[in-house]
Amino acid sequence: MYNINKIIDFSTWTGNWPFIHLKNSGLDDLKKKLKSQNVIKAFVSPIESILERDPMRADKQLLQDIKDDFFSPVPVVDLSYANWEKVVELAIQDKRVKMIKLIPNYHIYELSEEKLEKLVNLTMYNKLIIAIQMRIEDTRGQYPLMKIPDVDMLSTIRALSNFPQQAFILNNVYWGEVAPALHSTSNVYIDISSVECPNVLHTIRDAYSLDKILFSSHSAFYYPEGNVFKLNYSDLDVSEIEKVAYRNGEILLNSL
Amino acid sequence: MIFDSHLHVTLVGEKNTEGAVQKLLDSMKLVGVERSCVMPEPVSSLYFSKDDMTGQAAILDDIGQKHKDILYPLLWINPTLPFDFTKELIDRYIINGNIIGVKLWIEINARNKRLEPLAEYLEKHDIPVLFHSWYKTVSKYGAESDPSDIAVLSRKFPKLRILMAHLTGCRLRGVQDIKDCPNVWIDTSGGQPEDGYLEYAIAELGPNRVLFGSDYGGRDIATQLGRIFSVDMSDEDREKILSLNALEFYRKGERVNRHV
Repeated sequence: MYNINKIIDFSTWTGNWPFIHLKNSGLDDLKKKLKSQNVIKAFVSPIESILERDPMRADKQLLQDIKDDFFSPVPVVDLSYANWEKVVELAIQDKRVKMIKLIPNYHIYELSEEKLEKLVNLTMYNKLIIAIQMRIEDTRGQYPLMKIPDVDMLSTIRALSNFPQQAFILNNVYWGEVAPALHSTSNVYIDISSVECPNVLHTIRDAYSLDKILFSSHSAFYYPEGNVFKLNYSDLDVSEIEKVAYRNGEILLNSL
Repeated sequence: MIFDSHLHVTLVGEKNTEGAVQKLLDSMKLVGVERSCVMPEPVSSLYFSKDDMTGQAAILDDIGQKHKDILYPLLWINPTLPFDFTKELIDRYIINGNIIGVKLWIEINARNKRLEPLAEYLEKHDIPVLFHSWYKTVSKYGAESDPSDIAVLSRKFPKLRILMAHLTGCRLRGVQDIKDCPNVWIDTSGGQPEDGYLEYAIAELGPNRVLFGSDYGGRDIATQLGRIFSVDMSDEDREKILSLNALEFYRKGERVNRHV
C-alpha cells in the first residue's frame, strides 16, 4: 500500500444539497477532510449553482468565501441563461480562477458546436479550462420527483471535437464511458471520481493510458477516501500513480 | 482482518475457473482482504438455468474445499426453478458440502409466496442468505426487491438470517425499513462512494448489523473499503464492520446443531 502524499483534486463541491446532508460540504470542513487525505490543492464549485435558477449568485458567493489558495474557485456557467457571458467575465477577472464548469443536464441544454463556440473563444483567449459535469448523482438513486438523465457522452465528444485547441475535463465519467471519451480526442481529460472497476488505475492504464487521467474526489458528495484508495492500493509503479495524483494536472495547468 | 461480505467471480461460462479464483485472491491480497464470501457473476440472460445452477454449485463446492476459511462460497439460486431441484442442490452442496450460504438476486421478489418453501427450508437449516436489494428511481428490474420487501420476508421468517445488500442503493429509507428486523443485516457494497450512508446505518442499526462488502467483480475493493475509513468510529466498531460481523453471519447450521 502506498501513501501518495501529493494530490491535486480537480473537482470538489461546497454548499448545501437538498436531498441529503453532506457533512463535509462547508469550505472549512471540506478543506480539513481533503488535507487529511494529502490533497494539496482543490478546485471547488458551489453546490447551489446546480439547482438555483441563476448560478451567478452562488458563483459570486464562492469567489467571496474563498480566502486562501488551497481552493481554486470554479464558477458554474449556465449556457442557457442570457447572462452567461457575465459569469465568464467574473471568472476572467478573478485570477484565482483556472477553470469554469458546465452542467448541461441540470441546466437543460445540449452541448453543441453552436453552444460552445462563443464560450470557447472567451476561454481560449483567457486560458481557462472548461469542465463538463457528466452527472452529479447515480440516476438510480435520485430523488424520485427529480430525475435528471446523465449527459450523453457521444454527443458531448462530437461537440468538443470541434475545438481541438481547448482543454476540457469530463467529470464523473463511468468506466463504460472511458473509451468514447479518450479514443478520438487529444484535448479531453477525464477524472477518476466515478470510474470504478477492479484495480482502477491498472485497468485504465492497460486499456488506454494514464496520460489524460486526473484525480478528483467529487467530495463532498463522495467521501474522498474512496478515490484516494484507488491511488494508494494500486499495484502500479509509484511514478505512474503520481501521474494521476498530480503530475498530469500540473502539466495541464502549466500549459495554460 | 478484513472480510469482504459481497464479492463476485466469473464462474458460469468461464473456462479457466482456477485462473479466475487466483486473480480474485491476488486482488484481495492487494487490498489486505483476508477472507471473503464468493458467488458467481450474474449471467447475461439474468436467470440461471438448471445447468448453470448445477455447474456453479460443483465449482463453488470445490472452491470451498480448496480455500476453506478464506473463501466462503454462496450458492446462486434462481427461485423460479422447481423447489425440489433447488433443495437437492442445497442438501448436497450446503448441508452436506462446502458451500456456506445462498445468494438471491432479482428473479423473484422477496414478498412473493413462491419464495416461501425455499425461505422456510433455509430457516430450518440455519443457512444464511445474501439478498440483493435496491431502491431505484430508474432502471429497476421487474421483480427486484427493495428493502421494504426484504423486511416483509424477514418478518415471515424471523429466524432466517438475511444480509440485505447494497447500503448505498438501499439508502436512508432502506435502513429504516429493516431497523426493527433483528434478523436482517446490511452490507456496505455497491454504488458510487457516496458520503452519508454509513454513519446513518451505524447510528440507526448499531455497529453489529453492518458488514463491509465491495461488490467486487463490477466494483473496486479499495474504493468501497474507503467507505469504512471515511467515518469516525471506535476501533472496536470498525473491527466489527470489517470482519467480526461477517464471521458471525457467514456460518451455517449452528442453531440447528445446537438443538440436536
